[in-house]
Amino acid sequence: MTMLKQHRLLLGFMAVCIFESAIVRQVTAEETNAYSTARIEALNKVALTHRFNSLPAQAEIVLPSGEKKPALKIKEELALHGVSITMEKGRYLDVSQRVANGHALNPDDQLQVAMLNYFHQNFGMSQDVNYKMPGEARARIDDIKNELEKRGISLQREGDLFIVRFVRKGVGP
Amino acid sequence: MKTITTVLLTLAMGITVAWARSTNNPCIIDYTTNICVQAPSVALGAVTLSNSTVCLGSPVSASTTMTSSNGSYRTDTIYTNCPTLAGTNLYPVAPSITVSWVASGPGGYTTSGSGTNATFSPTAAGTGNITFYCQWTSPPPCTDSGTLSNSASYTVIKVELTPTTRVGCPRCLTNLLYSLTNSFVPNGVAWSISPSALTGGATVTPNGNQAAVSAGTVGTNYTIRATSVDNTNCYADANLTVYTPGLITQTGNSYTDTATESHKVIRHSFSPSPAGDAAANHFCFVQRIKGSFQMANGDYFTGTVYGIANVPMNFTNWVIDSLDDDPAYWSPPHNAHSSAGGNVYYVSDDPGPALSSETNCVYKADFTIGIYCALQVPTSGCAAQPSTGTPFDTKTWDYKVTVTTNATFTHP
Repeated sequence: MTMLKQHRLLLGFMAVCIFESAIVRQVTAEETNAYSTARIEALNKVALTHRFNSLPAQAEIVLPSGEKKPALKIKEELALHGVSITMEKGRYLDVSQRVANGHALNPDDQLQVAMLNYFHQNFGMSQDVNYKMPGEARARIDDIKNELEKRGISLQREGDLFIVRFVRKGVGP
Repeated sequence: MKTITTVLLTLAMGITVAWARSTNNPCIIDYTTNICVQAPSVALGAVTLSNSTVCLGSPVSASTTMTSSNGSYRTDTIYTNCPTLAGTNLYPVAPSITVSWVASGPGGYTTSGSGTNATFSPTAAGTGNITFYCQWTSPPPCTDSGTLSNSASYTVIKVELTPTTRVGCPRCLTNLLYSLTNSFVPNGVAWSISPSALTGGATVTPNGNQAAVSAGTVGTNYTIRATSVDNTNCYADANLTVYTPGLITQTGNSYTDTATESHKVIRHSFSPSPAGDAAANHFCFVQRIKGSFQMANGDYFTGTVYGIANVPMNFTNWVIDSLDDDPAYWSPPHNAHSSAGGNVYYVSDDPGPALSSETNCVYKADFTIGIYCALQVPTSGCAAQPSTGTPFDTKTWDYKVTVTTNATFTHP
């Protein structure tokens, strides 16, 4: 199955799920942070066609404050605040706790994991059948993974997310 | 009768005087009186300042001298029947003396005290006065009083510089001007910079109450000082930190070909001065790409450059190679780079990779990467190919891979 077909399939799936999510809005502890909540809600207000991890970078997002920013900028800001996000049932969610996988990450480790997911989700996933992942994104992902490994944090892929597999105690700078 | 009486009285008086003046008739004291022979004298010396020009916050010390000498009196005896007898013994007459001082200064400052020594700390810069007063009184019989005074002026120096701190690099530290503000320096200041003997280091060009500073090309911490000509103990310092990135070091500029992929994991690093994250974070890399990643059918692979996804990888002109709208390479954040420890900061790239399955595909791209002042590189608008300033150093490299029909890699 090509990535393009995957993309179309997922869009169809999202169209079904978005109705459900509109009825049952789960409010989790992961969404309590006001900063991330405001941005994630803003991302979720974009038209359905934009509701995918490949949300066009320049798609304009209106924050509750009225400030307008490109979608990628919003995602970047979330990552720089250590917030990992993903899309489920057509909606973006704060999954910072989920990627920590029960481990108590310090703020910088949490930031690195969020940055890793940001680069992977936005630049590492093929958006076009002939898409080549930018070398910069590949290098940054490898760099962050190596750094986290040095700190004793092992990661594993789960869907479009990197989550913490285990943390070796006594390892790290 | 009246005439007879007068004659008799006159006769009696004559007899009495004659009797009194005789050794057999002693003088009868009527009273005694003190006569001032010599009035006391009081003198107040000139005011001496230990330093007539002090720095604000330092005390002013002043002193004077007071000298006095006692006067004298004698006691005369007045007789009823003898001439006044002037006393021959002299008795001292000590004056009563009080010395006090009053200091006044700029900003309505006043203070006062007693004694011939004064120490006070003016609260504002400018000129002021210190006056010593000597009030004296002399007791009877040399009754007198007076007030003596002497003054001196002092100067309080204040040197204040603006700005107090500047941080940057030779690219952004332009038109550096330091000025005296809220200062009182009657004869101006002397400007200096430390360290001053560095080749290519920062220099200072005095111009009265201002000084132009050239950041130079040496990364270090400087101190710029304005010293009062009137009192060299009075000065103000300003800090200037000049960051420099040094040269770019390129490593990994070679291909690692496996049976299935052709990689070039290249790293560009720098070691800033002064060493540390603060200096490193002042700089960012900007990389540009020119060339193409072409498939066998003549179409081009797509990628993300200058913040736009799915862009055909065919660039006949140099374009900014950035994932996002920020022209800085390795962003976010804008000044991102990784630390290798030991004051080495780097970014990496891993283009392609060409795959052995991509027979007859041609990757032919040139790259140029420079290190820039992050303040001069815009943080958005990458797609418009904005100017990113002048790099401190650049390196060039390429990724050129042809996938042969035999599914092997060549690097023309």
